[in-house]
Amino acid sequence: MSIWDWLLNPAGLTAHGFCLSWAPGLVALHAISDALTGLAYFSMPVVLLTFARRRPDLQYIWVLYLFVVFILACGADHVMSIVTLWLPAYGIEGIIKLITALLSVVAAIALWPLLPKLVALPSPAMLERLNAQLQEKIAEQQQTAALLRDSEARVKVANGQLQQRVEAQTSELRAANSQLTATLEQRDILLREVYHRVKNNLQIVDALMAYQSRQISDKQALASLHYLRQRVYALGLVHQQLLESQDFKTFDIAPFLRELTTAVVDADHRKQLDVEVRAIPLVVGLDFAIPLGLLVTELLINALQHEFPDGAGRISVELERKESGTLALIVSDNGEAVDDGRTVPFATQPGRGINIITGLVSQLKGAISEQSKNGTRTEIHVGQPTAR
Amino acid sequence: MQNNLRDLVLIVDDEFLIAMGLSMQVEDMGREVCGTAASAEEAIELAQKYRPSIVLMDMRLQGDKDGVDAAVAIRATVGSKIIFITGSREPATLARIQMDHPAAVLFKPISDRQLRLAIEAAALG
Repeated sequence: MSIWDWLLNPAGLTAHGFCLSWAPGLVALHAISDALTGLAYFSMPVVLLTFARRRPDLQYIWVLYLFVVFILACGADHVMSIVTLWLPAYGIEGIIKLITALLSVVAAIALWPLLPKLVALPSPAMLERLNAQLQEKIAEQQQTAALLRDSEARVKVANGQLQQRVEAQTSELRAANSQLTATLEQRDILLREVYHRVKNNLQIVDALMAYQSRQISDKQALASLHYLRQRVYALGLVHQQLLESQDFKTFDIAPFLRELTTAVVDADHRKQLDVEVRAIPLVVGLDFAIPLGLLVTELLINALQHEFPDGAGRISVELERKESGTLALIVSDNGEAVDDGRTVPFATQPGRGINIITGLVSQLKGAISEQSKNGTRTEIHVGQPTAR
Repeated sequence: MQNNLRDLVLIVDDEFLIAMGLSMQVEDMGREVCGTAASAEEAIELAQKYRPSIVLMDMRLQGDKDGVDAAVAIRATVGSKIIFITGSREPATLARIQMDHPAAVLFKPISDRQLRLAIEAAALG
């Protein structure tokens, strides 16, 4: 038999209508049912394809295509059922059924593993819920952001206030500082004035004594007044040094000693003497300088009472520091003590000039020693003064 | 030296006793004092009258004018040598003194020796 025969009418079989005895109602029933089903089966894939085309983003879209083909095959199946009512094309029908069967099996098999995945696909309800949650979170965040901005604004305000306060305090401090500086300047001006007046007053005292001297003829009285003037000069010199100092409180004692010694020795017109002053630089205050200055004056006055061989007279004043840290003031001369009852070594004698010297030494908390071989050498040791 | 100045010393100080003391110091040196003045005007007047070769000028004087003012006027009209005497070492004062090119500047208290040296130097120069 030819293939065509087999397809269309294998072995001369009869159409299905014969099985129904060609009862018109029955034939119509089968034919119409199959037709309707077939139409449905042809319509559904259209929907599916349209859907697939509209939603190309869908996952598992191949499932749709699979079902399209499967449903089309089923539709073809039903069409063949109608055909075989009148035409025994059982060959074709069989082939189409086989195709349908294969597709069904494939679809059935493919569907099972797909089940959990399809179940997992989020439903609109789930999406809505997630969306709602998201909206909630967004609202929360917006609230937090708003709170943050509010907080920031408040911090800015507080910062501004702080800055204002800092500025206010700074200008207060500046004002206080400049007031302090002004007060210090006033104090300095005052101190300068005071020292100046003290110096002037001492100068006046000196002038008065000079004036008085002119009315005195007694030699001893004149000498007394002269030596008194030297002591007053020493006081004035301390205040002059203070006036020249930076802080009005302390000054270097070395130049002071030099000037004092030179002036005192020079004021004594009777003698032509060599004067040597060697002093370490030392910053001192008023409390140390005055007694020390007066001490040096006393010792110089004493030295000037000595007799010097002509042209070889020498007086020296030294201020040095010993290893132990104590200061040593040494006044020495190479004259001979005149034994006229006026000047006598310290240790044994009360009398003019001696009480002042020992008194001043003890005021300085020092110790004094004298030696009188080949001239006189007086050494006074004092502790390091605290310059106040 | 110019303009027939006389070998005299004029002393200018607002404090009488100090002026007196300076006079005694000068006289003890063997020099003659022509007078003492307490203000700039008085100093100029005496200087023009006596024409001293040397003037001892204190910075602080009675009235508004100070020692420099008097010194400038005296040097212009009489030509004496000016030895300034001051109690302060304030930079402002010193600068002002130096403006006038003084013969010397002495700081109080002035010892006899300092005064003698200054006057002798001024007399020579």
